[in-house]
Amino acid sequence: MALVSDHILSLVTFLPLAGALVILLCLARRPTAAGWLACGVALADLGLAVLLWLGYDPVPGTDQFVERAAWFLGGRVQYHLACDGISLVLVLLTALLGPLVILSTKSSLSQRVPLFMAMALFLQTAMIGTFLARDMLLFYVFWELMLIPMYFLIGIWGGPRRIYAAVKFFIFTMAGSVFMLVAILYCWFKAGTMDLGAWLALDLTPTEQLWLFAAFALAFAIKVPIWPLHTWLPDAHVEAPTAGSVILAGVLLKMGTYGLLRYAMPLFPAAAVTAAPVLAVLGVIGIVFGALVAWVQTDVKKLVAYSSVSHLGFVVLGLFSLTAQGATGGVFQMLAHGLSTGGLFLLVGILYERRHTRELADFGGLAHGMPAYASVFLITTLASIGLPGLCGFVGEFLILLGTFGSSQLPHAKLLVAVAATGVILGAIYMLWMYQKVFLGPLGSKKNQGLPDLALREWFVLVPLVVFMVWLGVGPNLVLAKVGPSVERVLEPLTAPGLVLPHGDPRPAPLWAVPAVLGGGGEVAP
Amino acid sequence: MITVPPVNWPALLPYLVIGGGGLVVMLVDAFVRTLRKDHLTALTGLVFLGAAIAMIAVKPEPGPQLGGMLTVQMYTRFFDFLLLGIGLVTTVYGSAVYSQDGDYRPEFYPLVLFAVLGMMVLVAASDLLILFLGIETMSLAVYALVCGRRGELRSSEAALKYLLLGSFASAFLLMGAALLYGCAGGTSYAALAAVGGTGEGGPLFAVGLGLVLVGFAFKVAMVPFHMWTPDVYDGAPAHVTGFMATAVKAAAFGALIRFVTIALPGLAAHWSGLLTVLTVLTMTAGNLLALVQASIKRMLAYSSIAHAGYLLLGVLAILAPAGGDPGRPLRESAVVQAAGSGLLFYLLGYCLMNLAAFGVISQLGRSGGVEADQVDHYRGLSGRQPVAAAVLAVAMFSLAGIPGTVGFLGKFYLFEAAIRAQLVPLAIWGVVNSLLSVYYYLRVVVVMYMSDDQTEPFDGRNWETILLAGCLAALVVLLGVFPAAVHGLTSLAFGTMLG
Amino acid sequence: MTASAVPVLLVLLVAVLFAALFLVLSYWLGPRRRDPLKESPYECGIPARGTVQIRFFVRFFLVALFFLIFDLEAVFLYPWVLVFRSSLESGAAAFALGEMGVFLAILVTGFVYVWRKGGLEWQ
Repeated sequence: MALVSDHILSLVTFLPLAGALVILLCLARRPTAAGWLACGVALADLGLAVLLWLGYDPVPGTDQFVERAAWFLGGRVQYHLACDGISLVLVLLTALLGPLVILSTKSSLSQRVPLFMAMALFLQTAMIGTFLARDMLLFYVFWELMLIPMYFLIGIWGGPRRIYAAVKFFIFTMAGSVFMLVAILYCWFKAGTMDLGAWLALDLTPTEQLWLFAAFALAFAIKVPIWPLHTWLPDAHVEAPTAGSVILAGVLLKMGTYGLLRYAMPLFPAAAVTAAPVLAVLGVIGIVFGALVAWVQTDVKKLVAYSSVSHLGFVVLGLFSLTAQGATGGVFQMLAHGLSTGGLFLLVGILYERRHTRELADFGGLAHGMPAYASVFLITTLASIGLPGLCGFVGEFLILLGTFGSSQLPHAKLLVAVAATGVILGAIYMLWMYQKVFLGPLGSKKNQGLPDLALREWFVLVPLVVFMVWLGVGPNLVLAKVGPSVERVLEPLTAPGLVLPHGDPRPAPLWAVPAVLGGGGEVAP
Repeated sequence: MITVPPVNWPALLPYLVIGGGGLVVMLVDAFVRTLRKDHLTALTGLVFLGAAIAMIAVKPEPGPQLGGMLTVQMYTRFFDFLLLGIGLVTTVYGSAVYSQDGDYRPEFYPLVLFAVLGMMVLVAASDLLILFLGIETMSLAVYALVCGRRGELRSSEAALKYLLLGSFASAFLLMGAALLYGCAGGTSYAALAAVGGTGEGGPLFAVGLGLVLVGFAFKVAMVPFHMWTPDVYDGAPAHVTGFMATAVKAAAFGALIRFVTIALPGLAAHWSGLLTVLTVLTMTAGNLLALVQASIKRMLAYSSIAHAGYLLLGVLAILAPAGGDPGRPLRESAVVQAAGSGLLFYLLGYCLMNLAAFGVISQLGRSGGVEADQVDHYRGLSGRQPVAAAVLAVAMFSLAGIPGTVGFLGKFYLFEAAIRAQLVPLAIWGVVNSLLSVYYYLRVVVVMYMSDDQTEPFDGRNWETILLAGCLAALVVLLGVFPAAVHGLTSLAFGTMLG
Repeated sequence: MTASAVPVLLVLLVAVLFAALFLVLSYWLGPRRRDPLKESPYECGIPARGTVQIRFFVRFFLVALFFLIFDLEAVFLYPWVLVFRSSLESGAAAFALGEMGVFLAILVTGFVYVWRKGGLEWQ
């Protein structure tokens, strides 16, 4: 067992990859066996993630289970994995969605099943690796590797405009991350190592910080996506197969906010404090914009996609409230959004399998024929809206609370007020959608006699519902693990001697930031 | 009065094995009537292996040979092994193609051997005369290889074009060498460095150097001397195109790197401005033109131009005066060391991924020697030939520089060196360019995996080629994950050249 | 070095000038009377037949090429002979002979290859 306990992070990361290789090499012509193997591997990975959860000591909030080995360039680039509270919950979320996604696709997929399973597992390795890497190059490798399987998932098994969506997704994300690569190379040049710990101790001038922060934040903002960089998201979601949408909404979008919290903010604290008002405002715009656009959608999947823009806006607002409370709420919201929106995409997928349409106008009164399905859908919808007692509430509440009390964010109370309208709008469009689909008389004849949830679908949905309720009722379970780590990560931002680019210790007013960005011409030391 | 230089036979053994082997293969082909092409393939393979064994088994004292005409050291040995490997792979690809088409071209085998011989000499040259000899031996063989499809107009046209333009380039090189001889009183690199270092060369020296660099620029397909590349790459049979894209480029860069580090160290300041412009042009033009190509071979031709641009970035990092201090000897500069070893690593990776790609391309076709040379011909390949499609996809991702492949790490090493050499804007431009390139590489993956199948699909006809290409693709991934050992090797190799 | 080139340049200049001078003079002074016979191409006094662009059998080119290749070897032999005399005195004769032997052996290999491949056969 020493092998497992010493290398648990490597195991949890690379077990899915091993499964993918076995499928590609041995089971390429046997779809059923490939499906079962993928399912088994994903479940085993979930088991490992649970072990991780049980073994994690929440009190110090430090990096634990550290694995370090020289990779190349004489150990200046390392294979360095570690897990703290933030990584922990996100790894657990990924590992939980993995088997559910694989289970959910077993009937909807007709062609190239082994390749699909391999890609799903490969994606899982890349995602978990991204959350656990503590070496910048290792992080970048995992970060970019996520693109490939997702690109295939959308491009091969997606809808009619899948190629456009896949290429757009790839190019958009890649475009952001190449600038991050330049920033990484620059920091590497300054630090002489790729180790995150050494980078945190790096002494960068405020101007350098601004440029580097901009490069990092751009990459992460595209991934989140922060308004106005979100245009790839609806395309990708609508064209992606159900499994792709679930992983995309459930985990991939969190990469952006995770990256902001883990890298962009603590590495360049002065720039983060300076830019916080801008990003917070963009977050609020995202909240309202996403909600308003979601309201006018006629395609259920697109509606859920835009609701993601809105929900992720909350996370961004929470992070850039620059308070531990807001940021912890942000991490909780990432988890909650992964569960509820992942669930919604699964449910929409189930409906699409039965009716082959997602147009709101085609539905109505489905609750008559499919009561169980309607109930599960209702719980998930309410969780997504943020009904107290379900998971969505805790995150949004903490975010608003943290932002309200933020001392570093100008006009924080105004931002909270605007963001709160997003909550209301969220309730409106979600319930409006629910009403159109499930309530009223059974409209079309095609909607009659649709089968209710099958056993396999129960297996997929019940864990999600359980967690949605559990987290809503007992959020401390997660908050206790996340909180100390968030405080540690945000330490550089609250350090007393923080020198801001414009020399003013007080947070910059909104209009001052562009002037500073424009004034900072010199990059080279 | 003639003086006989001491001949260090062990050091020259690999060249003799390849050259002699080429002659033997020629004669065997001419005399043995009952020969099958498999025999020639095996014989050629044996010659390559023999040369490799000669290099491993006989370890000569490294240093200048034949009175300083060429230098044998770990740097040249690195390229020798690389070139032998490419030659071997090309032989296997080629014989597979010829056996499919029923078009038996026995002269292919000695030509590959002679081309490799020329390349090895080219990289080892320490004298402009030997450099010219190497370039010509290589080029003459490659000219003939390009028209490898008898009776096909495009192939002959490509060969003629390549011959004419190549002759011009050689003439430039020769003219430059003559001018340099006039200024320096000798043709050895050392003599050039002695004159260049003092700055007494005068305008004629500069013109001569410029002309020699034009000769190099032609061989590595640097903009604006790249015009021949797409036509020739398109016209030549795919396995020869692969040979040109990898071996010719690797050898030319090997020689160029040696030339600029040994003969030009004091002249960096004069040339880096011009080279910067050419680097930017090469990267950008290559990528922009590749975007609009419908032919996969033309696309890869432009992509090879773009990759030449990335490699030139590394050359610039070497030239950037030794970390800001022109007086310091090159070998003391960590930047030069990083750039040089990065260049070698990149070249190795570049050769691996291109060979893998061209392997897949060469084995796909119709009877009668029709190649699948349009991107559209690869529609739905993943369904018919999953392994071949996966290999090509890996090669494309690697060429695009996606992490987890050797293409990413090669670019990482190069851009990192460029940033350390204070070439930050160029490095950023390189990164932006590699983003641009993602689009056209992805297109190949899109048609293979996401488009519907063709009505008249091309057949994959050869499992040996796919097996070999698969091994190369595996190496691409392996080196992309575990680069440390090989990068250590390239670092050591480059170090030996600096002395 | 430049001074010694002046006479050569002068000779070249004079040659070009004279040629140009006579061309211009004949153009100006020469009487011209056009008739069809004078306009036709001159071919030993008999009327021209066929076109000017005659197609040669491709073998002629091959033979020309072989001639060039094997003739150049003789050009290379000549300076070697001159140097060989001095190498007799310096004791490097065996080496020089060996080198030329290798050179000729490679050429002969090429010759044999051409022969065996039928490059020398007319049909």
